Amino acid sequence: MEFNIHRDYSEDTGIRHSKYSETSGEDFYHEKLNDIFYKCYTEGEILHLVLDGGDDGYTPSFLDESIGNLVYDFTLEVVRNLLDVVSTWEPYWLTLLENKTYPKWEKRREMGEQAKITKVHGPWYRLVNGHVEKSVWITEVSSV
Amino acid sequence: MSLTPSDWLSVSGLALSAMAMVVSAMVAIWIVDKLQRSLENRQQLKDHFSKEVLVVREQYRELVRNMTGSTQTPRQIRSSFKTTGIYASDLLQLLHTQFGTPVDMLIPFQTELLGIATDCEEYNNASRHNRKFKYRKTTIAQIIEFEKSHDKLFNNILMTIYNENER
Repeated sequence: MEFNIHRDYSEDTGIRHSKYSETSGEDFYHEKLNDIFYKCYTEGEILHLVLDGGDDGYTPSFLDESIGNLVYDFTLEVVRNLLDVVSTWEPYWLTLLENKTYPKWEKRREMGEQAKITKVHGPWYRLVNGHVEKSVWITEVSSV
Repeated sequence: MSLTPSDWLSVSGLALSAMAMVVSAMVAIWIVDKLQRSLENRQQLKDHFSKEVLVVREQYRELVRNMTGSTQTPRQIRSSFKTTGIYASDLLQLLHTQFGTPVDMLIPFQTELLGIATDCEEYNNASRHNRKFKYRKTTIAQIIEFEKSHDKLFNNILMTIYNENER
């Protein structure tokens, strides 16, 4: 499955948390990415997440928060197997994900250090002991 | 006095030797010329790419000047980083092919500097309505400090171009 962030989510992406921008990494994860990735997971399909396109660039925090949450909820191993991030225009985002986001969020997952949410979200998918469960995993809304 | 057959053989042998020497000399001149042109072309290529590197350095310097000296919207800042980042990535890819320059040499400018510029409170506060804002002194100091400590990366790239044979 292919999902182009600029085409299928928003031309204008924001920063890490929804408190500061409507199209934040937090919002993208909870409104789109978690659900799409879950579908790919159940169907054993690769998700080609395309960053190319649009005039506005990403912030590092948008990508870190959205893809980092995916690592937290599905493990780095599953994300590596099923997520193909495509960034031919700006290949440095791939380096950022590989060197910072993936190891950081996998470590957070191992330590149980959940993401902060800045608004209430509906239930979302998470891999627990090899099975996917859907729940509101974080209830405390942070002021950041 | 007429030439004997053996004289003719000697003369023709000499003529052939002379022709062979001329041809050898011409080939040698052609090879030297070719090498010279090739070296000149290589030098021209290096000079061309080094100018391109300096253009990218100037673009990042301008980005820093705009962030530290004027008001901008969050979208303007992201857009400028994107344009410059794409240009720099294309150039580094070419440098990698031509001179073996590592493609990730400008990652600090492409992601870390953008991180400083977009992770601060003033950027956050301006984000929702994409309004113009000015960075605070503490953020400006961080940006300038970053530029000072990473400006040498451009010289390091130039060194990979001109020192290609030393690697």
